[in-house]
Amino acid sequence: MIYAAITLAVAQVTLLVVALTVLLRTPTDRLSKGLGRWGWAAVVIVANLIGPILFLTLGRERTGPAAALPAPAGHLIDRFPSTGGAPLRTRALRKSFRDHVVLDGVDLDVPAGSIYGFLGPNGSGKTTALRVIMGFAHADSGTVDLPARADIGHLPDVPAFDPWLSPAGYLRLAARLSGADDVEERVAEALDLSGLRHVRRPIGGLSRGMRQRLGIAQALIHTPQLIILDEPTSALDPIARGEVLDTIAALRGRATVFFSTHSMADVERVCDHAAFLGGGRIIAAGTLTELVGRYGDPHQVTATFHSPDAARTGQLLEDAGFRDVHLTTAGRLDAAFATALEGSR
Amino acid sequence: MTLLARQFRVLRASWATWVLAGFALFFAVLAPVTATFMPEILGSLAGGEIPIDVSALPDPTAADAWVQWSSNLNQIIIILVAIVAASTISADIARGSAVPILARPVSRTWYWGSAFLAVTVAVTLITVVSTALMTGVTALLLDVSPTALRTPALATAAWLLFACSLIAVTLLASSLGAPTLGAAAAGVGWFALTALAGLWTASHAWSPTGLLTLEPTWGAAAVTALVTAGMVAAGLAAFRRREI
Repeated sequence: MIYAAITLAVAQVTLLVVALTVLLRTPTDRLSKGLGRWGWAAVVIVANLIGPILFLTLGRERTGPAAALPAPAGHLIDRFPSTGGAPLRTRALRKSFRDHVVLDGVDLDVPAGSIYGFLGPNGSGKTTALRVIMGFAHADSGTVDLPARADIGHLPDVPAFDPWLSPAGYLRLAARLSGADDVEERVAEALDLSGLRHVRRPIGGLSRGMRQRLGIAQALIHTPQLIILDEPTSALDPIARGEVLDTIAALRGRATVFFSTHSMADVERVCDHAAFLGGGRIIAAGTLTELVGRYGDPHQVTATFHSPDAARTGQLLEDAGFRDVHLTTAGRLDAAFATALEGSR
Repeated sequence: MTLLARQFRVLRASWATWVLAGFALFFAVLAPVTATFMPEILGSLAGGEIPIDVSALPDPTAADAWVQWSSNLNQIIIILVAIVAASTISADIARGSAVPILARPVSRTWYWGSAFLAVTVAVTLITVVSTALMTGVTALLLDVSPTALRTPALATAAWLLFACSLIAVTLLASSLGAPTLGAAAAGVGWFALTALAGLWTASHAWSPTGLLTLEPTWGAAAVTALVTAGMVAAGLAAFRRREI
């Protein structure tokens, strides 16, 4: 769109310059007596700029005062049934772009009510798999079993929404398109959940992280049974990342959450099931306990405790027969960051 | 209806719609003014160097204003219609905002249909209002008999039918994967093709070219309606298969 605007602007200025040049080169006695050279110059300029003037006066974005929203009476998560969720199943899913095979017989069994992490390195085909599951891309072969559209919530990999709407306006549209009831209450709860309650400006002016949070809110607003999220924690600061993961964790048993990520930490924190995608195939899938039991080191132990003397603790562990002991400072960076941020307020 | 209302908001947010409305209203005023003062304009342009006897020129009539308006519709406004149509589906997909809409219980058929309907209604509204304005200004400047109004009314209605075919072609190009400028170019290409075919006068009776004249025929209208229906069907079928 920006290229079209630049092209039109260049054409507009060119026309204006040509018209004024012709006017300047025309002898005064050949101009209409009524207007004169300056009068015609004014006519040429006004006629040439009528489009941009109309655009700037009438076509600008109109945000207007945001309509008053009711205070959220409850929490959007509480609207989900206490036991719910719909399963997702794919069989022999294959997708290629010419000779490049992206998905090669992908079988997924996502149990109802589970939180399922879909892991894989960048470029492994996670987004393509999700697009095929959602019907935005066509599989070469294979089947996808999932509930009706009204029971699916979806967050795309790049959250882009109608840029002229406010977050509340977009959530209202999303709820109505999904046929939800109590639209205004849901919008208030979704804004509360996403931390965008006081944001009145259009979506076009929001940061990537804010759009990400809006994307998660629009995926949940109609309380779907299956929620498909493509990298829901990307572009989020550590605190917002923690909040999103907490929201996902709160949906356990209430809805099925299937989300792609390349963050092992996110999967470990909230998921009960996971699948690894590599080379277009599911390399491993199952519960986290099964995966760690099958592929991890069963003798490796992670412990967190307070120690008055770390060096002495290490020595004691080695004396007790432990091997490969690595001691690090207690505490997590994101927790430290949250504490520091809280202290600065 | 929620989706249709959303498609109207898409059009309202597009600069192209406002430029179309602005140009249509501007030319609606300019056409009768130009027709009225054409002898003076010709005299001013010719000056004393080219011997033109302005007094020998026939007095301007309302028909001159209709011709001027018709040529403005065919040469400028129609191109803007293609740009407006391209600013719906193609721009929506390029922006990425179509994906979260189509992830909801919204059929692709209704998404495409609502875009077509919204553009058609917007173009019709703008054209009817600007034609009414043109007629009003013409009545102020020149003698207009009520029976003579049939000519601009019929010509504008025929042009609107042609504009529908152009909208369908543009949205068909969007369905086939064309970006915004590509879809607009397809619409402009359809107009250029029709204008070229218009050089063969025999085609006026039974092709869309007949709708770009001041005396449209029923045969041209029927053929254009059929072509439009075909383009709509093709556009819907292509959009159902399109990867987004």
